[in-house]
Amino acid sequence: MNNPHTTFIVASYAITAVAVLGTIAAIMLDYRRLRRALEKLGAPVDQRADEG
Amino acid sequence: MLRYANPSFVLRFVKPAIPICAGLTAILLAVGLYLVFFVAPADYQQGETVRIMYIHVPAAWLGMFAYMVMSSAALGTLVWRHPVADAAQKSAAPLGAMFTFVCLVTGSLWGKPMWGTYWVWDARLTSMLVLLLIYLALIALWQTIEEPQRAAKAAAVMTLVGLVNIPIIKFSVDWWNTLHQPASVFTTSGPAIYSSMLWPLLIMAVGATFLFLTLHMMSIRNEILRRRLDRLTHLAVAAGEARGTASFEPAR
Repeated sequence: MNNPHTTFIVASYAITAVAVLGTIAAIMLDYRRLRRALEKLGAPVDQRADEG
Repeated sequence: MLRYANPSFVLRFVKPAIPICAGLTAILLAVGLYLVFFVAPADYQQGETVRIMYIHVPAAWLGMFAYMVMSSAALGTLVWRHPVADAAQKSAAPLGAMFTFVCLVTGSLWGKPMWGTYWVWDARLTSMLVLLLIYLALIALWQTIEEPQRAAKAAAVMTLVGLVNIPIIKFSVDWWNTLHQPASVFTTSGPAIYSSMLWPLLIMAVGATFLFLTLHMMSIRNEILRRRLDRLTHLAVAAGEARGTASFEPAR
């Protein structure tokens, strides 16, 4: 891709990748934190809500 | 349908659905990116810069799609006062904001080499910026109001008010004289894009839609767990207070 606008194309894909991967990481870290907190209270994630 | 929209059923449903959707997302985006960089031709006018379209257009569609999902959920909150509808609405807002942000940034990076400017106060660009601001305002609203039911009701009303912006975004290029090009995929006369560019675009768009669905299900699961955690924490605190009060009672 020998083109004067390569920087714009690469920047677009790089920013998109950072935004998407950042969102995925944030959601997964939040899930891990919630899971640990629930386990500490003795209510594992797989337990039914009406049991917890 | 409401019978299935209970938190326990949702948690059971998303457990297998998340890995299936994530797998489909990975396959579709891998195929899409291969077609974008190795098969799709450069545009006769825009050259290689047209490759930005394959992320810009799906991001724009998903930015609006997320808002439609939120509006449907807002109706569920206001009409049936359903907690899962509220969780679905709240979970979609950051995702919609992310896709709208990607759309604006990639559009700006596409605009500089093609239009000679990163930004212009054009009707399409401005209405898309308004959508991002609505998303940010809704996220702030949920953070500001502590009582979940009040926050859900206020956010649902605000979401439905903001819905008026979606047709403005869609038809801005028809109603006003804009620098942004008119619609070229969903038109009454059929797509105005050559098939070797249309297919990679559609595959990227379907891949982005599965990405949204995967992340939305993961976020809804988090929201349900957060509410369960809040409830259990309140119960634990109340039980602790009850024991504390009992210990101050005079011995008989």
